Amino acid sequence: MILLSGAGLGFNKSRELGNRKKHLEMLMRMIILLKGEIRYGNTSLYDAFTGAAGKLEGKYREFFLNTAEEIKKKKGKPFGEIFRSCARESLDDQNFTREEKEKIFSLGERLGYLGMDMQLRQLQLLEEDVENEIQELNKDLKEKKKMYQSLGILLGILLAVLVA
Amino acid sequence: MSTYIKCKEVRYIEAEQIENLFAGNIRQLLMDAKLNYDKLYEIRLRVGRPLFLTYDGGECFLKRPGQEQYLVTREDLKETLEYVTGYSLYAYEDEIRQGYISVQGGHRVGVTGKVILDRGRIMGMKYISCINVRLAHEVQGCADSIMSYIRTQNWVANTLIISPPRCGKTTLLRDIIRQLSNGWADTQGLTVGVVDERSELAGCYQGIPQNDLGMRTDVLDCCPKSEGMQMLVRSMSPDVVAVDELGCEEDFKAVETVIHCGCKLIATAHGESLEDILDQPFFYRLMSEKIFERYIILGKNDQAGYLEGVLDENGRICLKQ
Repeated sequence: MILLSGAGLGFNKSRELGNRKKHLEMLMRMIILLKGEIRYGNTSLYDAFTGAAGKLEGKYREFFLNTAEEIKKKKGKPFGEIFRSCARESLDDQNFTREEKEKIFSLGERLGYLGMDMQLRQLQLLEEDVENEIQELNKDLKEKKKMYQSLGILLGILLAVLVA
Repeated sequence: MSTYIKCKEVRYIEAEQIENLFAGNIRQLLMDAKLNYDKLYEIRLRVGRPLFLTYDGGECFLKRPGQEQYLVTREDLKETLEYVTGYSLYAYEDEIRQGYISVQGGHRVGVTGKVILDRGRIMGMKYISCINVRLAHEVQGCADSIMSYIRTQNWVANTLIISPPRCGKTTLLRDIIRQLSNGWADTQGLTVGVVDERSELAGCYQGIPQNDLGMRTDVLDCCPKSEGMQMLVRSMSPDVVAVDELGCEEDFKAVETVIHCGCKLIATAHGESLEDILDQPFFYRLMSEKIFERYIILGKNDQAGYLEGVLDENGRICLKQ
C-alpha cells in the first residue's frame, strides 16, 4: 500500500508536468487566435473574443465567452477588471505558476488602449514569454517525468522498508 | 402579392442602451434625471462645460442633486469613449477619422478634438474634447402624404428631396425607402439599393441596419456615394437606388450611370428651394435633361419635416401646402 502511494505520488507529479505543457500550449493558441482576430479582422475586443472562442475548448473557451459577454453588458467596469475577473474564474485552477498567472491576468489592463500596433505588441510580448516557458519545459520534459516516476517508486520502497 | 404595412410614428429608444454608453458619473446623472428618452435628441459632453441635453424641443443641462451643474471632465470623455468603442478604440480609427461612430440602436456618436494631418489628409484625432451622442430619429409614416406623387402601380419617379439642414430630408428619405421596399398601398414592393455613406439612413451597427428600411432593401454602409451607386447597379440589380446628399462631381456621374441602367433614383440635396440648387451647374444640367421627375421641397417651420410642396420635372407645382 505504501509502495503504491509513493509511486502514485511520483506519477501524479509527472502527469502535472505534462498537463502544464498542455496548458501553456493552449494559452499560446489563445494568444495567437486573439492576435489574428485583431490583426486581420481589425475587430473590436468583443468580436475578437467571440470569434476566437469558437476555435478554443474547455476552460479557455469559457473564459473567452465570459469576457465577451461582460464587454457586451457595458456595466461601467474597466476592461482590465473584466478580463482579470473572468480569467480568475476560468483559468485560476489551470497549471500555471503564480508569476505566469499574473502575466495572463494583467493582460486586460494593457489591451484596448491606444492603436492596433499597441494591441499586437502586448499580445506578442505574452506570446514570446509563453513560448520561452514551453521551450524551457520541453528541454528536459521526458527526463523530468521519468525522474518523478522513479523518485515516487523509490520513496514508496523507502517508506515501506522503514515501516517494516 | 404586395403587402401594405400600416404606417405609424415610432421612436423607441432603450434607456439602458444609451446610459451604458457613458462614463459612470454621467451614467448616474442620466439615471437620476429619469428622462423620457422618446423626447431626448442629443447629449453633448464638452470638457470643462456642463452636460447639455437637447430634450423635448429645448436645451437643458444636468446637475447633481443640491449642487451646481455638473462639469464634464476629460476622464469622463475618455471613459465614455471606452464604452462607446467597446474598449476597442483601435478598431474605430477609420470612424474617428470621419468624426463619428455608429452604435447599437442606430445612434451616432460624434467626436471633435485636435485633427492629425499628414500632407493635408486626416490621419486621426487626438485630445478629443467633445462628444455628441445623437439619438436615432425614425418617423415611420412621415412620407405618407407624398408617396402618391412618386409611386404609382407601374411607375416610380426619379425624385430629389431639397431641404435646408435639420429640416428632415434624411428622415423623409428613410421613410420613402421603407415604403417603396415594403410596398405602398396596393403597389408592389421594390428592391431598393441604399448607399449610406455616413451611416445616417440605415444607422448600421456591425453591418446590420438599425433603422427600418424595408424588407427588400440592400445597404452599402460607409461607402462613397459615387462608387456605391455603381457597385449596387452592377451587383444587386436594384429597382431603385437611394442616396443622401448629392453634392460632388463624381456623384453626378454616378447618377447618370444609375439612370441609364434603367434604375430609378431617390436622392436628397441641401437647399432652400429648387432655384437655390439650380445655381449649382450639375443640378442645373440634371434639371434641363429632366432627369428628376419629382422635386420635394421641405422648409423651415416650427418643427422639422414641413412640406412646402412637390414639383414635377418642369418645376410645376403638383402639391402645395
